[in-house]
Amino acid sequence: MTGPADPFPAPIEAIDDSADTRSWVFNLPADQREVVAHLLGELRSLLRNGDLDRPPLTRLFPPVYVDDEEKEAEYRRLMRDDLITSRLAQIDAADALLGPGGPDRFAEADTIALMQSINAVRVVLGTILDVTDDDDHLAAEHNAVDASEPPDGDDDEGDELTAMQLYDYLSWLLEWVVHSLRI
Amino acid sequence: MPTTLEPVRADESDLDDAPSSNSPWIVLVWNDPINLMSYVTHVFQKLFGYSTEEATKLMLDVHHKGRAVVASGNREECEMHVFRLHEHSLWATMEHDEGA
Repeated sequence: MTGPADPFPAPIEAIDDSADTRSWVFNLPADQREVVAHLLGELRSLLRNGDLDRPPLTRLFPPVYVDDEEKEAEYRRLMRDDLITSRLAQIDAADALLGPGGPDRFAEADTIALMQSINAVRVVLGTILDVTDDDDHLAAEHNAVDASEPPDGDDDEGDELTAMQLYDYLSWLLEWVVHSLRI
Repeated sequence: MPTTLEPVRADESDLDDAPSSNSPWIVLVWNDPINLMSYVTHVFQKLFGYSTEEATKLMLDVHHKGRAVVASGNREECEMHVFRLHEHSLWATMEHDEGA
């Protein structure tokens, strides 16, 4: 696990609607919303068409019974489709927040779906990049990248650096989503 | 050198006493290098109702010791706990509580 990111202007925050209800708002530029929505779309496609038992998706569907093949097979038969359905529903809920027609304010359940989906993308990217505990701020090590700015996709240094930048950017964004839910 | 302590398959012949089918189950969360500390702590609080202090201690156990027991109960309850942890992309497994 990695530690908290450095403070940046909040890209998402909770607002008190009344004494006991809150809603959430984005302070995220449209181009950054598009980047996140694109990544969610990539994950949706992987979940629908990829091999769930091979990298980079294995970490999203880890074994439950590591010492009992029979129970593991039974669990997968009963629960795997539900987990896929749940993940796709999270992505759909998060995606609905990010587009041009997204709501000005949204509810806690939507924010949680956003949190889960961003983290799922991070897990896939981290698997592709073979992230280790020593890899805090991956992109910064390579190019002093500002984590609050996603890559523009035209980086000549290659796909791996782009993936590292996206991973750092999503880490930064996830920290803020979690922060908004805890206040 | 791997930095992640992965769940491993136990060899039944290495166990002094195989757990009885009636013994309770425990849910373990394993360390991984991807999930953020703040995220893991928040998930523990949200799913299990732990205080910030309790959740932080469990998160640090996962980080430093490689794993932590975050819940216990019968098989059905623990399967649901694992499912919800997997929904949050945490690396969770379950096993018989050999200390019970």
